[in-house]
Amino acid sequence: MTADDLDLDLDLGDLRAAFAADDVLRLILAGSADFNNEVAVRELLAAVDERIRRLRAREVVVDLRALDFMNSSCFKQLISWILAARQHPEEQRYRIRLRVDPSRYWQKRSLTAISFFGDGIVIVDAG
Amino acid sequence: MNTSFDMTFAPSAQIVSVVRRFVLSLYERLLGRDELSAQLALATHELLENAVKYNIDDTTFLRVSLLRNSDEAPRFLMTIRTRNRASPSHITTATEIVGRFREAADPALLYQQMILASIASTDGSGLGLARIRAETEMNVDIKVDGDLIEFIAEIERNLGGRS
Repeated sequence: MTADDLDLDLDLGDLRAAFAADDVLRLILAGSADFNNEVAVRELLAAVDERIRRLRAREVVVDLRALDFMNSSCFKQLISWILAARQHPEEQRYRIRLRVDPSRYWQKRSLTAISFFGDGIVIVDAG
Repeated sequence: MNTSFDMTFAPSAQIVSVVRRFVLSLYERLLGRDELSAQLALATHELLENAVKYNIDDTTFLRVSLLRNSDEAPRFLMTIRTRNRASPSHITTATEIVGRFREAADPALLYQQMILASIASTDGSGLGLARIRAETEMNVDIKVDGDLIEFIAEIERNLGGRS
């Protein structure tokens, strides 16, 4: 594994993403995830899933604190990723730790739905 | 406190987030950092995305208003309306979805069910409308006149202490 292998950055104007591997794997999202970048979000999450499994990591941190807003279509992509991750074989299964900012209304409210779909693989950090 | 604004614009996905941020800033200024401001911004975004996505001509209309609803109590009616022309199939789908909201005892559960159902579909899932109902508690209604479709998201709140 090299640092280049993990360079999965994205700058779509309104939406920015950075994927990094320090002591843990981290996906940081910032800006606004909406109608304009739903396909990009789907492809990004699929690529992140592939990297995590290739690295045989047991956990990924998804930092949403700087994400102003996520529309329902992109939220669906996040749920799709979680549901797919639940189906991986045991040796490829990993936890998804969502780092959220509860002062952002959409993040606070959407946690209810996330916990419904997470089934033990999703941990929400509201710190 | 009474305030409203109208916008008419050519459908543009890029404008939706700009309008959401404006609504959030405007109502945070009027109401303080109240959850209601964030709810209005969320509902405006989801309704406007639908209006842009399913529009079949070059005009999308938006109205956001905060109007005092009673002389006796500080109750205010917050309303978001979008209006656009849409295809018959979209109007049929949207009408069915709003009908499901009216019958749903638990909007949050309906939203979760719709998320699961939508994962297998590509469009017309109504997730944005379900999210408004589940995450803001606003009532969502629809009016149809020929190929004109109007969505109305509404909530009444006591804004005591503000005038």
